[in-house]
Order: sequence, then structure tokens, then C-alpha cells
Amino acid sequence: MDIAQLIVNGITMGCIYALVALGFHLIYNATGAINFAQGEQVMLGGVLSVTLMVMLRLPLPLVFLLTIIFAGLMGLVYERIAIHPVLHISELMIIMGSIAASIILRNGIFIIWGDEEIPFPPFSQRPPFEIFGVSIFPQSLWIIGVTLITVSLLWIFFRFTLMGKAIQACANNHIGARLVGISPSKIVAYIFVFAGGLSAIAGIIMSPITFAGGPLGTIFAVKGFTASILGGISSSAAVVFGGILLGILEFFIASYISSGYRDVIALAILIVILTLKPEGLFILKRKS
Amino acid sequence: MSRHRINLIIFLIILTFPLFDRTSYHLDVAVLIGIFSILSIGLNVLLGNTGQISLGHAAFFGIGAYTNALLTRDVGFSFWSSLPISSLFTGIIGYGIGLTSLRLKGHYLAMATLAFGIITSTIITEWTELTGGTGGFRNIPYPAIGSFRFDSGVKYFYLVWIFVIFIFLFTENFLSTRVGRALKAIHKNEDVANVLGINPTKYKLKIFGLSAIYAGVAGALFANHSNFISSESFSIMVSVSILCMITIGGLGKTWGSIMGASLLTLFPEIIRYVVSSPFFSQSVRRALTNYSYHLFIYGILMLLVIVFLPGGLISIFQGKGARSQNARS
Repeated sequence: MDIAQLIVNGITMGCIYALVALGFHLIYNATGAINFAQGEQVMLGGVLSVTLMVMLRLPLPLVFLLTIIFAGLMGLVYERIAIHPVLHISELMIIMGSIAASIILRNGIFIIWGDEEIPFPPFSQRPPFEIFGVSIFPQSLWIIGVTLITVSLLWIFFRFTLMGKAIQACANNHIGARLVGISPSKIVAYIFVFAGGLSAIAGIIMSPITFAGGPLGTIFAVKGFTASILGGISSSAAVVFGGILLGILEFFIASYISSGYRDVIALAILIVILTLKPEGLFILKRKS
Repeated sequence: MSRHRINLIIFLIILTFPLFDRTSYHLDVAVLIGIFSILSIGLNVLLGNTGQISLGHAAFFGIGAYTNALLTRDVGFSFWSSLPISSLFTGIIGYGIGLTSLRLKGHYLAMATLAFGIITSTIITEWTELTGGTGGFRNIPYPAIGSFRFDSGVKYFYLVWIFVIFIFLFTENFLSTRVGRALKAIHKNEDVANVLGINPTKYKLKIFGLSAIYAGVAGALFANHSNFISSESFSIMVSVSILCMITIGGLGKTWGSIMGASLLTLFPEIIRYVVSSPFFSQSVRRALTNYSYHLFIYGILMLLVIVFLPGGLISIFQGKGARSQNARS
């Protein structure tokens, strides 16, 4: 396949990884833990939107809005039930809590929606068009566009709003944040709402390509995590670059090496980077 | 009554099971409990005692199973000569994965082992010339001593449970030696342990290897019991189930592992038995035998145990002191 075509496809997939990776980054910065239910939250976005769109026939903007709100609320419930009670016990218990939540969420989805992927119509029904010999599906533009908007909104939020700054303060120094009147426990809850909504966005925009629901949650979580480690989990810009880099890498691997072993190679990259440079490729110095 | 005597009595009761019930289906379930007990004891040594988390334990289970299946069916080794080879091989791979844990802690290690689990199960599915993939690996011979073949449910029951008892005793003894105390010290505070002259790296690696060896033994027993293995038995969901077993049973407690393995293996069987009564309608029956429902319930149980009973269900039997230990540290 043409190199330019591979890059375009890679960027499309990479945008989804970038959104998932941003979810990991947000929660890591606020709690120092990895959210093992991230993949299931992405799945939740997919199945919720498929229900709203195909069964209730709601218009697309409303589908986005309702799915994000509901997924955000689920994020809050998740934090209150599984993370909050163990937050100050140990890191291990946070991991166990999020793994338990991921089992519950995943199988809850399977019980309600079944464990097979549900077909999802593309957002716009136009045929793919060509630019310089590269054929681009309208869905790719949707994915790239929504990702750009989401990332910019997040950036504005963290840069210019009081709550965004409070979250950053809390990530930098819990005790310091508390001294200036920020409640870290509340902030953690907000972060889970955001991460839930963010994962849902990834779930909605990827569904026309990958279908909604089904057993894909785990692999998307691990890929998103790989993206965040590839870039450097402590920086939001780095995880976005990591996601896009991983997307492009994957398409090259699938095209030039083997498509069956594409995931194997991507995950082997994860293990190697975790072992050799766990702070990420785009981070110069480890933050302490 | 001393602890050893209680252990002895419980094991004697377990070993009399085939005297009362020789239904081959029930014995198969009992063998499966034994195999999952070995897996759980292995993961619990790792997680409960050193705080290292492995989300890829089914991968070690699978490596042990396929290595033993290949050695006994295709190379012509006897079960007894292939068992040490396949479990040691699994142990060496575990040691290698443990090497990543030198730099990784907590959630990073969990993700690395999860990735390792996905890699292994993908390879098992894709490398069909070697493993048969989802179609399965057939005609694995039964273990034998001379002309005595472990080909019936009762014989295999004793074979597996003697392994369980041996591994149980080995683990309990090993944990009460200097090594076991060193592991606990590392779990509580790695820096302090280091100052006291314990080399955390060395111990962590060894325990990762040991945990993988246990999984390899379980894999070998599993492969030669079912005569048939396929990639489904070694998926990520199996790793997650083992994690549920030890959390619900009791982290850091060997009896907790066996209890968790028994509960979670028996649960679907009991449900199946209960819903087979004509009282339930067809749709309820189909729903309740669905694996997703079971995992959903395990997830809730796991969460309840983590939040309200960090010592696991076994701590109910072990008195107040045990209830708050280990997990909250």
C-alpha cells in the first residue's frame, strides 16, 4: 500500500489511541494510578451511542451529548464505588479496585448488549474521496476533527479555567493544593467524570470503524496505554503524539511485516519501552 | 489444635471425596479446582507476599500446557520427564518477565504482564502449525507410571490433589523461612528491607520465577488431563479469574487461594444445578448459565472484598487478627 495512505490511516487510528491515552494521563496525574477500566469505558461510549443512534434514531449532536453525559456520570459512580474507598490504602488496592470495576462494567455491557460487536453506521454516508491518490473516508475526517476539538477544549480548560488549574495544582502537589483550599478528593472525582466522558468520545467516533461493544475493550485499553507510555504519560501533549505515532507504526507493521502479529509487535514495543525508558520518548527528564 | 493438624485434617477430608462420589463429571470439576488451586497459590505468593501484580498468569499456564503437550505427544517424552522441563521452561520465561519488574512497580508491572498475556494468547491462536490455534491441540497422552495410566477420573483426582498438597506444604514452609520473611519485609517497605541487607531485586525475580513454575505445573496437569487444549483456556479472562479467586479467597493466604479457586470453580456448576430445576423458565436458565453473568458477580464480590474484607473470605475462619493483615499495607 502507498505510504501516504498508510500514514492517513495511521493518523485516524492514532487519534483514537490519543483520546484513550489522554484518559490514562488525566487519571495518572491526579491519582498516580492506572485506570484499568479505561477500555470498558470506551466500550460503554460505543454501545450507548449505538443504542441512542440506531434504536432511538436521535440526531448525531444529541447522541454525542447524551453519551458523554451518561458516561461521565458512570465515571463518577465508578470513582465513588471502586476508587474512593481504597484511594489512601495503597497503590495496589487502587489497581485491584479498578480491575474489579472493569470486570463489572465489561460483563454488565455483555449482559445488556451481548458480547458480539454491534454494527454502527458511519456518521456521513458519502463515498470516500481522493486527494493526491490517497483515498480518505469521511469517517477519518470525523475522527480527526473530533479529536482536534476535544484536545483543544481540554487544553483551554486546563489553561484558563479555575477548575482546570485546581486539577493541575492537585496533580503537582496534594498537600499544597489542600493548603490553598482545594479538596483533592473532589478533584479526583471530577477527573474520573472527565476521563469517563473522554473515553466515551473515543468509543463513539471509533465505532463506525471497529463496531460498538464486543471484546475489543481490553485491547484498546492496552493500546491506549502503550500510546501514553510511548509518548510519556506525565504530559498531555506527549500522550497525543504517542497515540498518533503508535497508530502510524501499527499500519506500517501490518502492511510490511504481518497483520496477524500486529498487536503482538505493538505490545512488545510497550514492554520494551516500559523496561528501557518508562518515562516516555518525548519526555526529557522524569518529573518527580 | 495446631495449624499443621488442621491442614492435615482438611486435606484428608478432601482426599476422601472419591469414596463418596465417583461421578466422572464431579471428579472433573474437582480436578479443575485442584489445577486452579495451584495457579492461585502461585499468583498469591507473588501478589500477596511481594505486592507484584501479574495480569498475565494465564500465559504462564498456557506455556506450561503447550510445552508439556508437545513434549509428550510429539517428542515422545513421558509425563514425568516432561513435567520438570515444561515447568522449568515456564519458570525461566517468568524470570525474564520478572526482569522488567526490576524497573517497574505496581500498575506498570500490571500493564506489562497484561501485554505479555495478550501477546502469548495471540501467538497461541496465530501459530496454528504448532498449537492448533482455536481448533485445538488433540490426543495428548495420559500420564503413566509403568503400565499404570492415570486415565480415569479417580486416578487423576489423586494425581492432581497430591500435587496441590505438595505445593501447599512447600509454599507454607518456604514462606515461614528466612526467604518468606524477607519477602514480607520487601512488601511492607522496600527501602527498609534494602537497608536490612535484603536484596529486593534478587528475591522479586526468584519469586516471579517460582510463581511461573507453579503455573507451568498447573498447565502440564491441565493439558494431560483434558487430552485436548485450545487457545480459549489461556485468554486474558482466565488471568482475571485467577486474580478474582485470590482476592476473594484472601490475599497472602495459601488457604485463601484454595478457597477462592474452589468457590469460583464451583459457582457456575452450582448455578447450573440450581437452574436445571423445572422451577426456572428457559430464558432465566439460559441467562444464568451465561459466563458474563458469572464474571459480573465475581467482579462485584471482588470489589466488596477489597472494600469491606481486605483479608478475603478466608479471614472469616481465621479469626480477627487475620482479617486486617496483609492486604492493607
